[in-house]
Amino acid sequence: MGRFERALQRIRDAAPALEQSGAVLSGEAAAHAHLMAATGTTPDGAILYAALAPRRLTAIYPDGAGRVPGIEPDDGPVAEVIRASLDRFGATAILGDGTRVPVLSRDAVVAELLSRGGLALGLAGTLIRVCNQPAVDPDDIREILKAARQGERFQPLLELLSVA
Amino acid sequence: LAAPGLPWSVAEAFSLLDEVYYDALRRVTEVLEREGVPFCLVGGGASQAWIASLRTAGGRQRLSDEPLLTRALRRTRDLDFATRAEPARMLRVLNHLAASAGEGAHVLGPRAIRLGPVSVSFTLSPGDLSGMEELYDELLDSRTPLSLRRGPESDEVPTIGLEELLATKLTRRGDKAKNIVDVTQLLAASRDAGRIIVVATVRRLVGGRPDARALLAGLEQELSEEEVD
Repeated sequence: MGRFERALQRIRDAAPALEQSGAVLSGEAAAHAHLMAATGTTPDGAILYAALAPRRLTAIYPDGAGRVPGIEPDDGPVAEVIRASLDRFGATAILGDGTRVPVLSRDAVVAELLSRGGLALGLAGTLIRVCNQPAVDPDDIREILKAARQGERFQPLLELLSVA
Repeated sequence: LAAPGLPWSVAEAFSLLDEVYYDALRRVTEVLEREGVPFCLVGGGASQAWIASLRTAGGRQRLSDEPLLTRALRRTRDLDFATRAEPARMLRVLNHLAASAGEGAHVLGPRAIRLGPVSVSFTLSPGDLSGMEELYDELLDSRTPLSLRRGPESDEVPTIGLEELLATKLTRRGDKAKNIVDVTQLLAASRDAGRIIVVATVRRLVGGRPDARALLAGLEQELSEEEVD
């Protein structure tokens, strides 16, 4: 089993503990949870989308919540903004085997990946292309980035939407 | 955006899974080979060709038999080729191409032809590749024949080398997001096909270009983690 498959398995296995602690997966981990759900991928079966393996598995934990092993707390600027509104930005990715994974909403994940820049933009592009129903909301993403003082990171989204 | 009288929208973009785009690629490739013009496919079309070739075991599988390709290929409106030719010679070649392609083919000078909805562009010399002029011949020489298959027979498409393509994607200015999408899909396809990327070549070609340094670091980290794995 490669790094990719192991990461997907860890995402799936962490789901119950994340739910218990009220945390939601963020960043690359959340993107992969959305991609698994949209394509019917399960960590034990064929991977039905093309992407690089997540480098870090992160989650946004509510204040005082216990940490889930292997899932680092997300301390990025977008995560700091979202932590205050987890009710609004929380979602559930349902994997092919029925596992319910607490994740950030897709638009919030795209905002996080835009904020990180670099190769993370490629994952944002894949997320937009594969999970395009309903269409991402650029206004929502702009609002998150502005609140995180990352407004200058918005521009690549327009390019990604044009090539998705 | 529908063009009156045309069966396509002018804003439509294509992948190698689309017959009109694949046929345009095959037609241009055949003519350039026949005329003896040194050339290779570059840009977004080259990314598609590499991803498709890596994911279909070098044309052993048909493109339509690999479901990942519908999501892995970034659609584009054009095909780009690097060549070495005098403008007058290229104009003659493109006029032959237009005559053989028939209706819907329009020559737009020695560097461009429209084949139905597909725009095809050519660089003719280093001066046409701003920012990487000194590498032009090396990029052209890296041409690698990739086998792709839509029907019963496979087609050979001379394409810029994989390392060279990655270097251009990391380095070229403008449209960065689409280039990064291509880079990540190329890396994922290489990983899945077991194709080892020679990082030293990418690093040398990228050189000291400041814009590319951070992206190159990301690529190096990605590849080193795969290696450890």
